[in-house]
Amino acid sequence: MSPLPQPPDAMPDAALLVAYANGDPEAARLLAARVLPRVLGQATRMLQDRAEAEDVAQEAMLRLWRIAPDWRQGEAQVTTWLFRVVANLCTDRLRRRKRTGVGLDQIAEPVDQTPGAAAGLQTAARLRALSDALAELPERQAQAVALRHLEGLSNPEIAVIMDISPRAVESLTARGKRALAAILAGRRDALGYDDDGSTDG
Amino acid sequence: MDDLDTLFATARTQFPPPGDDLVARVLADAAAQQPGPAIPRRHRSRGAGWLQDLLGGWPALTGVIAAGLAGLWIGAAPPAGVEGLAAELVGTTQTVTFLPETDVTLFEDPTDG
Repeated sequence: MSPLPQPPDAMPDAALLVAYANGDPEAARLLAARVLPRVLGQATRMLQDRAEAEDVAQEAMLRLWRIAPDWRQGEAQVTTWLFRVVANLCTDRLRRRKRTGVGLDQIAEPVDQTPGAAAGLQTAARLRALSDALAELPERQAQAVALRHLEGLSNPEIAVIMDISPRAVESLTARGKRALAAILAGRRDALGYDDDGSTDG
Repeated sequence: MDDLDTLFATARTQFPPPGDDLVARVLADAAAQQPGPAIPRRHRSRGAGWLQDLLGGWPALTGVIAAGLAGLWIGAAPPAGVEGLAAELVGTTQTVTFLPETDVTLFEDPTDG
Protein backbone atom coordinates (compact mmCIF):
# COMPACT_ATOMS: atom_id res chain seq x y z
CA MET A 1 0.00 0.00 0.00
CA SER A 2 1.60 3.25 -1.06
CA PRO A 3 1.41 6.09 1.47
CA LEU A 4 -1.33 8.63 1.08
CA PRO A 5 -0.22 11.70 -0.90
CA GLN A 6 -0.22 15.09 0.75
CA PRO A 7 -2.93 17.26 -0.83
CA PRO A 8 -2.19 20.82 -1.84
CA ASP A 9 -3.35 23.06 1.02
CA ALA A 10 -4.99 25.54 -1.30
CA MET A 11 -7.65 23.11 -2.49
CA PRO A 12 -10.69 23.11 -0.16
CA ASP A 13 -12.01 19.79 1.13
CA ALA A 14 -15.35 20.39 -0.57
CA ALA A 15 -13.64 20.93 -3.94
CA LEU A 16 -11.86 17.59 -3.55
CA LEU A 17 -15.16 15.94 -2.66
CA VAL A 18 -16.84 17.37 -5.76
CA ALA A 19 -13.86 16.26 -7.87
CA TYR A 20 -14.31 12.77 -6.43
CA ALA A 21 -18.01 12.83 -7.29
CA ASN A 22 -17.10 13.87 -10.84
CA GLY A 23 -14.95 10.78 -11.24
CA ASP A 24 -11.47 12.19 -10.49
CA PRO A 25 -9.54 9.04 -9.53
CA GLU A 26 -6.98 10.91 -7.40
CA ALA A 27 -9.42 13.01 -5.36
CA ALA A 28 -10.32 10.26 -2.87
CA ARG A 29 -6.67 9.66 -1.99
CA LEU A 30 -6.04 13.36 -1.51
CA LEU A 31 -9.13 13.87 0.62
CA ALA A 32 -8.49 10.77 2.71
CA ALA A 33 -4.93 11.93 3.35
CA ARG A 34 -6.29 15.16 4.73
CA VAL A 35 -9.27 14.05 6.82
CA LEU A 36 -8.78 10.41 7.76
CA PRO A 37 -6.16 11.06 10.51
CA ARG A 38 -8.54 13.57 12.11
CA VAL A 39 -11.49 11.21 11.84
CA LEU A 40 -9.54 8.31 13.34
CA GLY A 41 -8.18 10.56 16.08
CA GLN A 42 -11.65 11.73 17.12
CA ALA A 43 -12.97 8.16 17.19
CA THR A 44 -9.94 6.92 19.15
CA ARG A 45 -10.17 9.64 21.78
CA MET A 46 -13.85 8.94 22.33
CA LEU A 47 -13.81 5.13 22.19
CA GLN A 48 -10.31 4.23 23.44
CA ASP A 49 -10.47 1.08 21.36
CA ARG A 50 -8.35 0.86 18.23
CA ALA A 51 -10.49 -1.66 16.33
CA GLU A 52 -13.74 0.14 17.11
CA ALA A 53 -12.19 3.49 16.21
CA GLU A 54 -11.02 2.15 12.85
CA ASP A 55 -14.48 0.75 12.11
CA VAL A 56 -16.04 4.12 12.93
CA ALA A 57 -13.48 5.94 10.78
CA GLN A 58 -14.17 3.65 7.83
CA GLU A 59 -17.94 4.04 8.26
CA ALA A 60 -17.69 7.84 8.48
CA MET A 61 -15.58 7.96 5.32
CA LEU A 62 -18.00 5.61 3.56
CA ARG A 63 -20.84 7.99 4.36
CA LEU A 64 -18.75 10.84 2.98
CA TRP A 65 -18.19 8.99 -0.32
CA ARG A 66 -21.90 8.26 -0.54
CA ILE A 67 -23.00 11.82 0.04
CA ALA A 68 -20.42 13.24 -2.42
CA PRO A 69 -22.72 13.40 -5.49
CA ASP A 70 -25.26 15.45 -3.49
CA TRP A 71 -22.73 17.67 -1.70
CA ARG A 72 -23.50 21.38 -2.05
CA GLN A 73 -20.43 23.52 -1.80
CA GLY A 74 -20.77 26.43 0.58
CA GLU A 75 -23.58 24.92 2.66
CA ALA A 76 -21.40 22.98 5.09
CA GLN A 77 -17.75 22.32 5.81
CA VAL A 78 -16.60 18.77 5.22
CA THR A 79 -14.79 18.79 8.58
CA THR A 80 -17.91 20.01 10.41
CA TRP A 81 -19.97 17.28 8.76
CA LEU A 82 -17.38 14.65 9.69
CA PHE A 83 -17.19 15.81 13.31
CA ARG A 84 -20.97 15.33 13.54
CA VAL A 85 -20.97 11.92 11.86
CA VAL A 86 -18.09 10.58 13.93
CA ALA A 87 -19.65 11.88 17.17
CA ASN A 88 -22.92 10.15 16.29
CA LEU A 89 -21.23 6.89 15.32
CA CYS A 90 -19.18 6.93 18.53
CA THR A 91 -22.17 7.50 20.79
CA ASP A 92 -23.90 4.61 18.99
CA ARG A 93 -20.89 2.44 19.83
CA LEU A 94 -20.82 3.64 23.42
CA ARG A 95 -24.51 2.88 23.82
CA ARG A 96 -23.93 -0.63 22.44
CA ARG A 97 -20.95 -1.08 24.77
CA LYS A 98 -23.07 -0.08 27.74
CA ARG A 99 -25.89 -2.41 26.67
CA THR A 100 -23.63 -5.41 26.11
CA GLY A 101 -21.58 -4.69 29.22
CA VAL A 102 -18.13 -4.79 27.57
CA GLY A 103 -16.11 -3.25 30.37
CA LEU A 104 -12.57 -2.36 31.18
CA ASP A 105 -11.59 -5.81 32.40
CA GLN A 106 -12.61 -7.34 29.08
CA ILE A 107 -10.26 -5.26 27.00
CA ALA A 108 -7.28 -7.27 25.81
CA GLU A 109 -4.94 -4.48 24.78
CA PRO A 110 -4.72 -0.81 25.66
CA VAL A 111 -4.81 1.72 22.81
CA ASP A 112 -1.74 3.55 23.94
CA GLN A 113 1.12 1.11 24.38
CA THR A 114 3.81 3.51 25.51
CA PRO A 115 7.10 2.21 26.82
CA GLY A 116 7.25 1.93 30.58
CA ALA A 117 4.62 -0.73 30.70
CA ALA A 118 3.01 -0.15 34.10
CA ALA A 119 2.49 3.59 33.72
CA GLY A 120 1.32 3.07 30.14
CA LEU A 121 -1.19 0.44 31.14
CA GLN A 122 -2.50 2.61 33.93
CA THR A 123 -2.91 5.58 31.58
CA ALA A 124 -4.70 3.37 29.08
CA ALA A 125 -6.98 2.02 31.79
CA ARG A 126 -7.88 5.52 32.92
CA LEU A 127 -8.59 6.67 29.38
CA ARG A 128 -10.76 3.63 28.83
CA ALA A 129 -12.57 4.39 32.08
CA LEU A 130 -13.20 7.89 30.74
CA SER A 131 -14.65 6.42 27.57
CA ASP A 132 -16.83 4.02 29.57
CA ALA A 133 -18.00 6.92 31.70
CA LEU A 134 -18.97 8.82 28.53
CA ALA A 135 -21.20 5.84 27.72
CA GLU A 136 -23.11 6.53 30.93
CA LEU A 137 -24.07 10.05 29.84
CA PRO A 138 -27.06 11.04 27.71
CA GLU A 139 -25.89 11.06 24.07
CA ARG A 140 -25.99 14.82 23.54
CA GLN A 141 -24.07 15.44 26.74
CA ALA A 142 -21.45 12.87 25.77
CA GLN A 143 -21.05 14.44 22.32
CA ALA A 144 -20.77 17.97 23.67
CA VAL A 145 -18.23 16.97 26.33
CA ALA A 146 -16.16 15.00 23.82
CA LEU A 147 -16.12 17.81 21.27
CA ARG A 148 -15.22 20.38 23.92
CA HIS A 149 -12.70 18.51 26.05
CA LEU A 150 -11.35 15.74 23.79
CA GLU A 151 -11.29 17.68 20.51
CA GLY A 152 -10.66 21.09 22.09
CA LEU A 153 -13.33 22.84 20.00
CA SER A 154 -14.93 26.12 21.01
CA ASN A 155 -18.59 26.40 22.03
CA PRO A 156 -19.59 28.21 18.80
CA GLU A 157 -17.87 25.48 16.73
CA ILE A 158 -19.68 22.77 18.68
CA ALA A 159 -22.94 24.68 18.30
CA VAL A 160 -22.60 24.48 14.50
CA ILE A 161 -21.69 20.79 14.59
CA MET A 162 -24.57 19.87 16.90
CA ASP A 163 -26.97 22.40 15.39
CA ILE A 164 -27.82 23.98 18.75
CA SER A 165 -27.11 27.34 20.38
CA PRO A 166 -23.77 28.09 22.10
CA ARG A 167 -25.65 28.48 25.38
CA ALA A 168 -27.08 25.00 24.99
CA VAL A 169 -23.55 23.71 24.36
CA GLU A 170 -22.37 25.41 27.53
CA SER A 171 -25.15 23.81 29.51
CA LEU A 172 -24.55 20.34 28.03
CA THR A 173 -20.80 20.42 28.63
CA ALA A 174 -21.14 21.71 32.21
CA ARG A 175 -23.66 19.05 33.18
CA GLY A 176 -21.75 16.35 31.30
CA LYS A 177 -18.46 17.19 32.93
CA ARG A 178 -19.98 17.15 36.41
CA ALA A 179 -21.57 13.76 35.71
CA LEU A 180 -18.29 12.36 34.38
CA ALA A 181 -16.42 13.54 37.48
CA ALA A 182 -19.00 11.85 39.70
CA ILE A 183 -18.78 8.57 37.77
CA LEU A 184 -14.97 8.51 37.81
CA ALA A 185 -14.83 9.49 41.49
CA GLY A 186 -16.46 6.17 42.26
CA ARG A 187 -13.63 4.37 40.47
CA ARG A 188 -10.62 6.14 41.95
CA ASP A 189 -9.32 3.04 43.70
CA ALA A 190 -9.73 0.83 40.66
CA LEU A 191 -7.90 3.33 38.50
CA GLY A 192 -5.01 3.73 40.95
CA TYR A 193 -5.49 7.42 41.65
CA ASP A 194 -4.86 6.92 45.36
CA ASP A 195 -1.58 5.14 44.60
CA ASP A 196 0.06 7.99 42.72
CA GLY A 197 -1.00 10.82 44.99
CA SER A 198 -3.50 12.47 42.66
CA THR A 199 -5.77 14.93 44.33
CA ASP A 200 -9.50 14.76 44.19
CA GLY A 201 -11.15 17.37 42.00
CA MET B 1 -12.18 17.73 38.50
CA ASP B 2 -8.36 17.84 38.37
CA ASP B 3 -8.18 14.14 37.55
CA LEU B 4 -10.74 14.64 34.82
CA ASP B 5 -8.93 17.62 33.30
CA THR B 6 -5.70 15.62 33.37
CA LEU B 7 -7.43 12.75 31.59
CA PHE B 8 -8.86 15.09 28.97
CA ALA B 9 -5.40 16.56 28.40
CA THR B 10 -3.88 13.10 28.04
CA ALA B 11 -6.55 12.04 25.58
CA ARG B 12 -5.94 15.15 23.48
CA THR B 13 -2.39 13.96 22.83
CA GLN B 14 -3.63 10.84 21.04
CA PHE B 15 -3.10 11.11 17.31
CA PRO B 16 -2.87 7.56 16.01
CA PRO B 17 -1.83 7.51 12.34
CA PRO B 18 -4.15 5.50 10.10
CA GLY B 19 -2.61 2.10 9.36
CA ASP B 20 -2.13 0.75 5.86
CA ASP B 21 -5.03 -1.66 6.31
CA LEU B 22 -7.47 1.11 7.25
CA VAL B 23 -6.27 3.29 4.36
CA ALA B 24 -6.77 0.38 1.97
CA ARG B 25 -10.29 -0.25 3.28
CA VAL B 26 -11.22 3.43 3.00
CA LEU B 27 -9.87 3.76 -0.55
CA ALA B 28 -11.54 0.52 -1.61
CA ASP B 29 -14.85 1.94 -0.37
CA ALA B 30 -14.14 5.16 -2.24
CA ALA B 31 -13.47 3.30 -5.48
CA ALA B 32 -16.61 1.19 -5.07
CA GLN B 33 -18.80 4.23 -4.38
CA GLN B 34 -17.30 6.63 -6.91
CA PRO B 35 -19.67 7.70 -9.67
CA GLY B 36 -18.29 7.40 -13.21
CA PRO B 37 -16.91 10.45 -15.01
CA ALA B 38 -19.64 12.81 -16.17
CA ILE B 39 -20.48 12.01 -19.82
CA PRO B 40 -22.17 14.81 -21.80
CA ARG B 41 -25.49 13.80 -23.34
CA ARG B 42 -25.32 13.18 -27.09
CA HIS B 43 -27.08 15.73 -29.23
CA ARG B 44 -30.16 14.21 -30.78
CA SER B 45 -30.23 15.10 -34.47
CA ARG B 46 -32.77 12.65 -35.80
CA GLY B 47 -36.50 13.22 -36.38
CA ALA B 48 -38.47 15.75 -34.39
CA GLY B 49 -36.31 15.51 -31.27
CA TRP B 50 -35.45 19.21 -31.32
CA LEU B 51 -39.15 20.15 -31.61
CA GLN B 52 -40.05 17.74 -28.82
CA ASP B 53 -37.40 19.33 -26.57
CA LEU B 54 -38.59 22.81 -27.50
CA LEU B 55 -42.23 22.13 -26.67
CA GLY B 56 -41.65 20.03 -23.59
CA GLY B 57 -41.93 16.41 -24.62
CA TRP B 58 -44.35 14.11 -26.35
CA PRO B 59 -47.54 15.06 -24.45
CA ALA B 60 -47.19 18.70 -25.47
CA LEU B 61 -46.24 17.77 -29.01
CA THR B 62 -49.31 15.52 -29.53
CA GLY B 63 -51.52 18.30 -28.13
CA VAL B 64 -50.14 20.73 -30.69
CA ILE B 65 -50.68 18.23 -33.53
CA ALA B 66 -54.27 17.53 -32.40
CA ALA B 67 -55.07 21.24 -32.21
CA GLY B 68 -53.64 21.75 -35.71
CA LEU B 69 -55.70 18.92 -37.19
CA ALA B 70 -58.86 20.20 -35.49
CA GLY B 71 -58.27 23.69 -36.91
CA LEU B 72 -57.74 22.27 -40.39
CA TRP B 73 -60.97 20.27 -40.18
CA ILE B 74 -63.02 23.23 -38.94
CA GLY B 75 -61.61 25.34 -41.76
CA ALA B 76 -62.43 22.76 -44.45
CA ALA B 77 -65.90 21.82 -43.20
CA PRO B 78 -67.17 24.34 -40.67
CA PRO B 79 -69.96 22.96 -38.50
CA ALA B 80 -73.34 24.68 -38.69
CA GLY B 81 -73.43 27.86 -36.66
CA VAL B 82 -69.70 28.63 -36.81
CA GLU B 83 -70.15 31.28 -39.49
CA GLY B 84 -73.04 32.86 -37.55
CA LEU B 85 -70.98 32.78 -34.39
CA ALA B 86 -68.04 34.40 -36.16
CA ALA B 87 -70.33 37.15 -37.44
CA GLU B 88 -71.63 37.79 -33.95
CA LEU B 89 -68.15 37.91 -32.46
CA VAL B 90 -66.53 40.05 -35.17
CA GLY B 91 -69.62 42.17 -35.71
CA THR B 92 -69.77 42.28 -39.48
CA THR B 93 -68.97 40.01 -42.37
CA GLN B 94 -67.35 41.32 -45.48
CA THR B 95 -66.90 39.70 -48.82
CA VAL B 96 -63.75 40.52 -50.66
CA THR B 97 -63.55 39.80 -54.36
CA PHE B 98 -60.07 39.49 -55.65
CA LEU B 99 -61.09 39.19 -59.26
CA PRO B 100 -63.74 41.83 -60.10
CA GLU B 101 -66.00 40.96 -63.00
CA THR B 102 -64.58 43.71 -65.19
CA ASP B 103 -61.11 42.30 -64.88
CA VAL B 104 -62.28 38.78 -65.43
CA THR B 105 -63.77 39.74 -68.78
CA LEU B 106 -60.31 40.78 -69.98
CA PHE B 107 -59.23 37.19 -69.85
CA GLU B 108 -62.34 35.77 -71.44
CA ASP B 109 -61.87 34.09 -74.75
CA PRO B 110 -63.57 36.31 -77.36
CA THR B 111 -64.30 33.27 -79.46
CA ASP B 112 -66.36 31.84 -76.65
CA GLY B 113 -70.08 32.37 -77.05
